[in-house]
Formats: sequence, structure tokens, C-alpha cells
Amino acid sequence: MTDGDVASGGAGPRDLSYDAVMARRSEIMLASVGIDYNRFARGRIAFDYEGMMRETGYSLDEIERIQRETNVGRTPLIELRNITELVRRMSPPGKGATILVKDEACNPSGSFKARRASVSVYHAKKLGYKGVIAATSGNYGAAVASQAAMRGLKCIVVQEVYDSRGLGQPEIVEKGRACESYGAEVVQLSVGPELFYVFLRLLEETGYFNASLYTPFGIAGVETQRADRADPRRGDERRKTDVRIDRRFDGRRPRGGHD
Amino acid sequence: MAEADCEASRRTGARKGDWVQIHDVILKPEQRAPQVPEDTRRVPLEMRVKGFIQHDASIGEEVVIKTYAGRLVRGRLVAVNPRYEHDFGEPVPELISVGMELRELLDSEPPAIPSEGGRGL
Repeated sequence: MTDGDVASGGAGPRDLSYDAVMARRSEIMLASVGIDYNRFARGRIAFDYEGMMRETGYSLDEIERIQRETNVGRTPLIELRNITELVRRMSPPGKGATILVKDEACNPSGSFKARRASVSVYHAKKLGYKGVIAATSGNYGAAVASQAAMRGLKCIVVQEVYDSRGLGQPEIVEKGRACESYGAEVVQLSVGPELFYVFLRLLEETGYFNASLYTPFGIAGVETQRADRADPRRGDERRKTDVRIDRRFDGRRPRGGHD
Repeated sequence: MAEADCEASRRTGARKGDWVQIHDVILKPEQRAPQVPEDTRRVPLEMRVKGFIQHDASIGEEVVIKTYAGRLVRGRLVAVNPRYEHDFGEPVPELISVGMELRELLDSEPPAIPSEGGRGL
């Protein structure tokens, strides 16, 4: 190895300034995820989301097969008897639904994000990428690291974690530890929008796959959550749920839906 | 070197092959993204990353490490075998008693609350 191979120091042939890297954004994204997002742009502000998912996605059956390979999904559905009883005591007579929780912490890496990472990492492996990169400070990073370990790919997780005194946000520090225990390289940054800039630089430097949460593969992986409401391992029968509320304990607001 | 001496030297330096953490400035304040707020622009964008050090060095020296992914990265040596640490902050007073209140409610004879409902949890 020569000094020219060392990542830091800006000795490479390409301009690594913020503006220059951001200007190469489309080209880097195309090389790292294999999707030309411009093809799905419709005019100045519209985007053909359905078209993109159709052309680049996997069917639900394929996703289930991919997820079985790394033990993702088919999580237990648990009846919360105490909470159900409490709600009934506080509700008018005849009201108060049975409340069930789908225990997504039973996924490998401990969150539903394994569903999303599973398809990205599978796709990266299928296309022959040597590794995957995700810019994420939470459960998704751990999920990508865990899936990459199982599929034998290298993994880099870029986190936005420290303040200017070098004090790290506790949950993010903990996720960094998890990622390292799965064998990922964890690049820890101070806060700022340049997280994305560093992510692009790493994609360009390594030629790894962009395992972003927001590619069609990351999005498609979560669709099985709705499909596998019962846990066949426990012999539960598929039950009809009337109302579904997603509360994923990942800092987002609850999302509800009628099944 | 005796074991104790070896431990002492690791506080001030690393030997080739040790697991270490390095620090580097990715963007100086004047190189940062144009959209960053004023207070963020006053500080650099910093990076910390861990890997196996490629040569003996003292804390504070410029070194090269090899990361888990196999990249060679240059930076200033800041820690040898860096410790994982954080804590979970102060307890939340409202949450300390809530379990006992609900258990009392569950153990009482129904209906514990008039059926107009909606007092809410």
C-alpha cells in the first residue's frame, strides 16, 4: 500500500471538497445503487414512485423468501392481557378491543429494521458488490451490519453522533457498539448536514452498495410485516386485526391503518 | 515488558496491531456546507473511527489504521482499546409511580372508573 491508498488526506485524484462531491451526487448514487432516479422524475416536482417500485422491487413472495434466509420476520404476536383489561375498565360497556403487539424486537439485530435491511443487503450481494454502506445512527445501522455479516459482505455505518466537545448521544453510541460487534466499520461524525457528503465520499472510495433506508429495496422489505401478522412457529392462527397502529420505537410518530 | 508496564504504556501510546480510535477533521469551518447554521459553521466537521493501528505510536500522533472494512485511514491517535460508555440519564418521576397506580386499578373490583370512559392513560 502506498500513501495514496490512505483514505484521509485528500491525496486522491478527485476533488473532495464539499461542493465537488455534492456535484457528483447523481453519478455516485447511480453507481452505488444501480437506479437512475432521474428516469422516474416527472416534470419539476412530480415523481413516479409506483413506477420505480414496480421496476426495481421484489414481489412479496420473493421478499419473504429472502427474509427467511436470514431469519427475519415471522415475529410473535402477543396479546397484552393487562393492557386490554385496563382499557376495558376505562371504556364504555362493550368497548375496548383486544390489544395485540407484534414483537418486532425478535428480529435479528432487535428491531423491525432488519426487514428493510434484508432486501438491500440481499440485492447488493446479488449484484456482486463487496460491501454495503448506510448513513444512519440507529436501529437501521445495526440491521444493515447484522444482515451484511450474515451475507458475508463488508459494512460501513456512518453516524452523526458527537457534539463539538466530543460528547456522544447515548443511544447512538450504543448502536455504534452494536454495529461494531456485528463486524461493521463505524465512522462517527460530529453533527451537521455533511453526513450525506461523507456518505457519498465513502461510496465513491469503496465502490460499495448504497444500503440507504430510502431505496426501493429498503422500502419493500417492510411490506412483509403486515403479511405475517401471526407467528407460525408458535402455531398461532392468522387472526384478523381490525386496526393496526405502528409504533416502532424509532423516534417516529405512530402510524395507523385499517387492515 | 512486565504486564503493569505494558498497561501503563497503553495509556500513552499504542503498539502495532492494537485496536485504537483516531480523530480527523473532515471539513474545516470555512469548508463546511453552505447551508449550515452560524454556530455550526464555527466548528469543524470531525470524524472518529476505530481500527487496527499499523505501527507503534503515542497518543496525539498522526497514525494510519486499518478498519473492520479493510480501509486504511489516517488520523490523530486519541485512544487505545477505547471503552464503550454512556449512561441512561435521570429517572423520570412520572414513570416511577405509574406502574403501581395501574396495578392498583387492575386489582380493584370493576368498574374502577365510571363508564363514561375517556379518562385516558
